[in-house]
Amino acid sequence: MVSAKVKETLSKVLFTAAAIICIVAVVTIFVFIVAKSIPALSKIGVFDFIFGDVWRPDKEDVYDQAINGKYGILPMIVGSIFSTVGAIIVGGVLGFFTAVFLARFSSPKVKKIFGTVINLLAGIPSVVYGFFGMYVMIPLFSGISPTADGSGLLVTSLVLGIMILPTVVALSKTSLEAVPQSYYEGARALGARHEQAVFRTVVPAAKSGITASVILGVGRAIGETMAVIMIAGNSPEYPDGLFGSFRTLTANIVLEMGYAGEVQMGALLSTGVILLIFIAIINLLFGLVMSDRKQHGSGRRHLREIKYDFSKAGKVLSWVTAGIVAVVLVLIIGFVFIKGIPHITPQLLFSDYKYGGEPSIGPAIVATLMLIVISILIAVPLGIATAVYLNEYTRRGSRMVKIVRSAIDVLSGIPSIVYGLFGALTFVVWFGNTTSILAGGFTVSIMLLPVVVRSTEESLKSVPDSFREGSLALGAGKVRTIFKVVLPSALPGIFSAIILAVGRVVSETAPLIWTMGSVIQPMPTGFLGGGATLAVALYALSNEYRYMNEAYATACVLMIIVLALNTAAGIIAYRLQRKLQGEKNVKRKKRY
Amino acid sequence: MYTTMAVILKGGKKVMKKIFAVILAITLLTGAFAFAACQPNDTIVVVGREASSGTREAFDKVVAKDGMTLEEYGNETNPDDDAESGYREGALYFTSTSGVASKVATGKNAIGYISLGSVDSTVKALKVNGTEPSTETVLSGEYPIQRPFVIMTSKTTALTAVAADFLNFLKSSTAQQIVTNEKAVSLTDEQQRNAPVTEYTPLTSAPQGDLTINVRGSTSMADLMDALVGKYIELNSWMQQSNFKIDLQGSSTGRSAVDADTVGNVIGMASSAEKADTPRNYFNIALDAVAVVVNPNSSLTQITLEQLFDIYTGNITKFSQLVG
Repeated sequence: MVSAKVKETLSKVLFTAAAIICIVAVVTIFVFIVAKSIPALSKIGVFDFIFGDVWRPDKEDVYDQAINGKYGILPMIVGSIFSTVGAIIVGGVLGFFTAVFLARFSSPKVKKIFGTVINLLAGIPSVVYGFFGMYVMIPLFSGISPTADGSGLLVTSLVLGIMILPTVVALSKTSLEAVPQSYYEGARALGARHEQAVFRTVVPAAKSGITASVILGVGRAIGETMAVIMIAGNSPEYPDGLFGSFRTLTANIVLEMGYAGEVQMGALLSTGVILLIFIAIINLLFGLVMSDRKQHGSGRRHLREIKYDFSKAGKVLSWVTAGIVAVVLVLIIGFVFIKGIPHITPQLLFSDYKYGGEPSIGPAIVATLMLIVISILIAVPLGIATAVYLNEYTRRGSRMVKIVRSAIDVLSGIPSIVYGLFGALTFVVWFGNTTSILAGGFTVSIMLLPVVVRSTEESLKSVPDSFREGSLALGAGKVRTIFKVVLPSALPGIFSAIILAVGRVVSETAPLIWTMGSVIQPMPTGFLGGGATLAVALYALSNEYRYMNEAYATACVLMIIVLALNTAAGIIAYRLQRKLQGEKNVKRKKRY
Repeated sequence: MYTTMAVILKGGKKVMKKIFAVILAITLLTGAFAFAACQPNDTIVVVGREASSGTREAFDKVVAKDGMTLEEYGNETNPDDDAESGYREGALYFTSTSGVASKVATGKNAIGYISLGSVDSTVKALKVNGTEPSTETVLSGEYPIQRPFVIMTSKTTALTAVAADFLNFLKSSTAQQIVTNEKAVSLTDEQQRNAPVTEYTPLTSAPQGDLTINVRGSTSMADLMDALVGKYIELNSWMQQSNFKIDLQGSSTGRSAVDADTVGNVIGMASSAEKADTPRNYFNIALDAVAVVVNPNSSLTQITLEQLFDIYTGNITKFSQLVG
């Protein structure tokens, strides 16, 4: 008995510790970046920095000298806001209706294929979206642009909108599917048509999950770097209509980090602070909106007479958006495969790289696997433990839950380039003062936490309380209930979380360039050695024009890997679910 | 497939109407695009590099009008001016040669500048002041926009045995052969190089001490350094690939890495000339031309430095102004 009690306490402590680590991570990143940016801000002046509209850094600057340059980032703030709003309009609307279509209107077969392809989209590195924007979208719009070039707000919004699609669709779909079938059946029983039941009952019930997916989408859009610098134009000006060169906050960091002097570096870190403040504001706003909704309970609204019924239009929109998304998916994937497939050779894939020799991504594949192992080993246990803590150990709405959840929201919003900056100045310094796979792994792990926590939480929520009650009633302890009943039931969701996480590791570029190294290198010699992942190799190959074909081939390989991962996970999830249901059926038979 | 057909058949007229509406909308949209695309627009799209780029430095130093270079114009103009360092409003900026080249290859109105070694069939290099960019015109100094590739080492810290040997190799005639292979302009004049061309004899066994060599600096020199390192390893079989740590983050990081070198194993690379009062040991391993490039379909074949100045500062915004 005593050992059971110890076990209970120990696991509670462990789960709590995981949640606390999440909070500590957020606080550390904030404090670190704010502290580093204070000297520059005091020199420039906070007001001049935020509201100045000219960005012309000094060429050589040190803190002891007076500054001549101008460090105003208002144009970049406006640029980031506009492009993010554009992305949300495009990706949010498309994503929401696609999710509704997949969850409630499509046939299971279509749903399975469509879902796989959208997950594939999540694994495409942002550099590839940049290529797509640059080679397909911009030439398309150049003809109608008054500046004779398609770069600018419109294309950036479209590309970012496509990029956030997988995030919005995956999470919205999960939460739509988690709505109890009885809600839908109840509506139908009261005489509602299928689309009415979906749009007026199921969708409102899934609101929190859908909102969460949009928050993640906003985070990804505002933090995107590598694709934006290829399509926005990057001039430090206000966005001038739908076309015209402009710069976002993240682009500002990545464009100038490499050569910044002291004050300029401080100004770039301050740009990071502004991004963090943005994320905090977004989270706060969403929090307010959500609590507002809860207060004005939905009961009253249902009694009100419905004047306009948009559910029919919603149904049509679902079909149309799903069609549009399908076309875009085919375009992007076709674009990469047609350009890349002919250049995939055994030499490119499997040989070790020799300096001065032909490009090879064999070492990059090994480095990617090593990075995946490290980051999954760190992020998945920590993330699942945090999710378990949030969902099983706390009352809903308690202060601790609020703090942890907002910490996770903030983490999910921090732009990857800021993680890269943080990792370069901490992990890289700790692990031998040189870029290494270990430093990259730690940096990426923090990024993965919110992905794992959020998806695990959603799937834990979908486990019916009766399972827990049943297990507890049969005399099982809390720990036993969690490990034997709750987690196994939530396994398919957890697997999808891991897949999302692996996809993210595989496709990230910005945080790794600074922590793992950005040069095509020979086989990694160990975890303390440097290496380029496939996505970074793709960036490096395309950065020096000569290897464009190999870059597309690498992009293909990346997508094939993501596809294989998804399929494997799908099979595992299906098997597990069947096994689970099988056991349940047996139990039921015994009972009756 | 069959389900879709069944839906269409079952839904009858209503669904047909919807499908028709969608098709109509798409047709109208495409029509609008096509119509707008037919309108001639000869606005010049100005493409440049980020402020730290060695390529940009070389370009801005030479492109001039009435005795004022783009660089001076950028430093002296009204600091409240919107555009970055003197370039006109609405200019596009990329952080790599590849970015500029891709933009020019896909945009029929774009003009940009890239390293001559990176010019291929997807872009067209213009004659500048009547001179074609080539090895001969760069060496003779006729082609105006050029810069050296610089190798730097610490002045205050003595190099390790292996780094010193690698530096000897870089100064050798063997290295010059690689330079030519990599489409850079081989430089042999001792004055211009700031070092004589020597003969390199490989070491038969590994020298004393740690074998690590850190190579840091310019992205423009990536391919060249890659090939040089490959050749060095080929000549010295005791040297491991993993002994080389290469990191490319731009010329200025190359300089600061050399300045911060306390071990004596940092080889810095910069793609713009070192100043006369430099605190580092250096020599110029090669020359490179900065080619002015446009889309292959452009009718433009040549340009003057004055015109480039006007284009990049925004005095000229249309191609028609160039021909006239």
